[in-house]
Amino acid sequence: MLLGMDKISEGVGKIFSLLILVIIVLEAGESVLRYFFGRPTDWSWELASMLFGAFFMMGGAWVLKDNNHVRTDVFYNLLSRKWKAYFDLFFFTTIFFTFTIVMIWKMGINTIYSISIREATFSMWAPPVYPLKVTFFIAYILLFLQGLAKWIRDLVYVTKGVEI
Amino acid sequence: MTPLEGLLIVGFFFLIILLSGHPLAFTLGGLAVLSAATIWGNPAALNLFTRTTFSVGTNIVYTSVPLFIFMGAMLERSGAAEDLFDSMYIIFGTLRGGIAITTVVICTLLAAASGIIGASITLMTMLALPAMMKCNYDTKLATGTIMAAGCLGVLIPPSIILVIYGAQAQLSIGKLFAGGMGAGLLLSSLYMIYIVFTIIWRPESAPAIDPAEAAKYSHIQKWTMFFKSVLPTSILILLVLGSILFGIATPTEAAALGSVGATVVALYNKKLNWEVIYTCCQLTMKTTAMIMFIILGASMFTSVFLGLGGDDMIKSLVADMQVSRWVVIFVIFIILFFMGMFIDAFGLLLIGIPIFTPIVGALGFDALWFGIMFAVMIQVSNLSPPFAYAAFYVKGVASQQNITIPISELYRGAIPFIVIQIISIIILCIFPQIILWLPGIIFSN
Repeated sequence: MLLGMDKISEGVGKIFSLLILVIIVLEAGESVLRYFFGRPTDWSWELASMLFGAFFMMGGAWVLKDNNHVRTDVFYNLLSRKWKAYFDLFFFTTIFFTFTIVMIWKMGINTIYSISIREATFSMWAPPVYPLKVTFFIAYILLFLQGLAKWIRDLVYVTKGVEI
Repeated sequence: MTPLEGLLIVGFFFLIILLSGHPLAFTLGGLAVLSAATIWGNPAALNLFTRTTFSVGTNIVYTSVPLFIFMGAMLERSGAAEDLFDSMYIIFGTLRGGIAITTVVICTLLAAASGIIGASITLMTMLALPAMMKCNYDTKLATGTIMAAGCLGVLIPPSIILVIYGAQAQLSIGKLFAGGMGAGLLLSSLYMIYIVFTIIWRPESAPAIDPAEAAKYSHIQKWTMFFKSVLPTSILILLVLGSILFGIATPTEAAALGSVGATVVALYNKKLNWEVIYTCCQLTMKTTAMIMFIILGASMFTSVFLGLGGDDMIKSLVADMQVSRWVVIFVIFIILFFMGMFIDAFGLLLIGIPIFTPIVGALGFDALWFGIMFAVMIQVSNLSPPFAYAAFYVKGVASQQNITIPISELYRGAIPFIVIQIISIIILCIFPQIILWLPGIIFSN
C-alpha cells in the first residue's frame, strides 16, 4: 500500500509535468501573436497561469516522496536514522498534518461552494474556476497521503527497526 | 497578549522547528495555520489560506518560474556550453589562469541566458573542473571560481530569485532585472581581477595548458569555432533579455520564448530527443514544486505576520532607533549573512522580505537598490558554510565525474570569493548608481 502511494505520487507528478510544454506554447505563442500579428488573445495568460497552478501543486507529493522539500539540515544531518525518524514523527504529526488537514478541510468547503455556484473568474474570458479548485483539493489530499506514508514508515522503523 | 509577545512566540517556534530540520514549506504553512487559529485568534483567516493557494497558483509572474527552470534545464543539455568551453579552452587556455577566466566569462554568459544557478554550476563542474585539475590548478582556486561564478545567475537577469523578490515585494521585474545587470557585471569583473592577482602572486596555482593542445588548430580555425559557439548563446540572451528590457514581452513570455530558443539550440546541436524533453519536464516540475510550496507557505506565514501587526511593530521599532540608517542597514546585512549560513536561498528570500523591506522603506532607502543588495547577500549565502548550496552542488557533480573533493576544501576555496562579495556590497553602498543607472535610463518614462 505504501509503495502504491509512492507510485501514485510519482505517476501523477510525471503526467502533470507535461503541462509545462503547454504553458510554453501558450506564452511563447501569445507574445508572437501580439508582437507580429497585433492580435493578442484574452485567454492565454489566464489559462497559462491556471495550468501553472495545477502543474506545481500536483508535484508536491512527488517531491515529498523523493524527500526533496528543502530542510535546514545542518543539525538534522548529524542525527542517526532513528533520531531522524523520531524528529520527523513528531513534526509531521504536529506541523505537517495540521497544515495538510486544515487545507484539505478548507479547500474542500471552498471547492464544493465553488461548484455549487458555478464560480467563474472576473476576466473577459471568465472561465470556470472550480476545475482548478478541485485540482488543488486533490493535490492537498495526495500531499497528505504521501506524508502519511512517510509517517507510517518512520513509525515502523522506530518500533520494529526495519525499513519498509 | 501584545503583538510583540505574539510575534516572539511565533518566531521562537519557527526557529525551533526550522532548525530541527522539518521541511521549510510545511514549517511556514503549518505555523501559519496554527498561529492563525490560536495566537492571532482569527480562525476566519484559515479561509484566507485557500485564497492564498488560489492566488499563488494563478499568478502570472510566478508562472515564469517553471519556464525559466525549463529553459535552464534545456540549455544545460543543449550542448551550447560544451562548444563554448571547447573553443575558449583552446584560445585562452594557453595563458596562465586562462581556464579560470574562461569559467567566469562562460558563467556570466550562461547567467544572462538562464534564470537558475544549478545549470551553470553543474556544467562548469563537468567541463572546467576536470580541465583545471588536469593542468594542476590549485583545487581551492578552481572550485572557488566555479562556485562563485556559477552563482552569478542570482544577480544577472533573468533570475528566478529576482522574479520572486519582485512578486513578493511588489517591484517591477523589468526594473529589478535592469538593476541586477550592473551589480552582476561588477561581481563578475571583481572575480576576474582576483584571479589575475592570484596568478601574479602565486603563478603555480593556475598553470596554462600544454601549448601542443592548442597548436593543432590554426588561428582562423580557433576564431571560427569561437564565433560559432558564442552565437547561439548570444541570440538566446538577446531574445530573452532584449524582449524584456525593450518592453516587447513580459518576463513570463520572454521565459517561454527562451524555453523555445533553448530547445532550438539543442535541436541545432543534434542533442534533442523525446527523452531529453521528458527529463526537462520532470526536473522542472520537481524544482518548481519545491520552490512554489515554500512560496505558498511563506505567503500564508506573511499574512499571519502582518495580521499580528508585525509590519507596524517593525516600523515603530525603526522610528525609535537613535542610530544612523547606515548602521541599521549594516546590521540587516549581518543578520542576512548569519541566516544565510543556515537557510537556503529561497528560505532566506521569503523570510527576509516581509521582515526587512518595511525597515528599509521606512529608512528611505531605494527599494530597487535594496532588492539587488538582497540578491548579492543570497549569493553570499550560497557560498557560506555550513549550509553552502554551491559547495554541495559542486561536490555532488564532481563525484559523478570521479573527482573527490573534501567539503572542507570547498569551504576554504569559497572564502576569498565571499570576501570579494562583501567588498562588492561596500562598493554598491558607496556607488548605488551601479545598480540604479540602467533601470534609470530604460524606464525613465
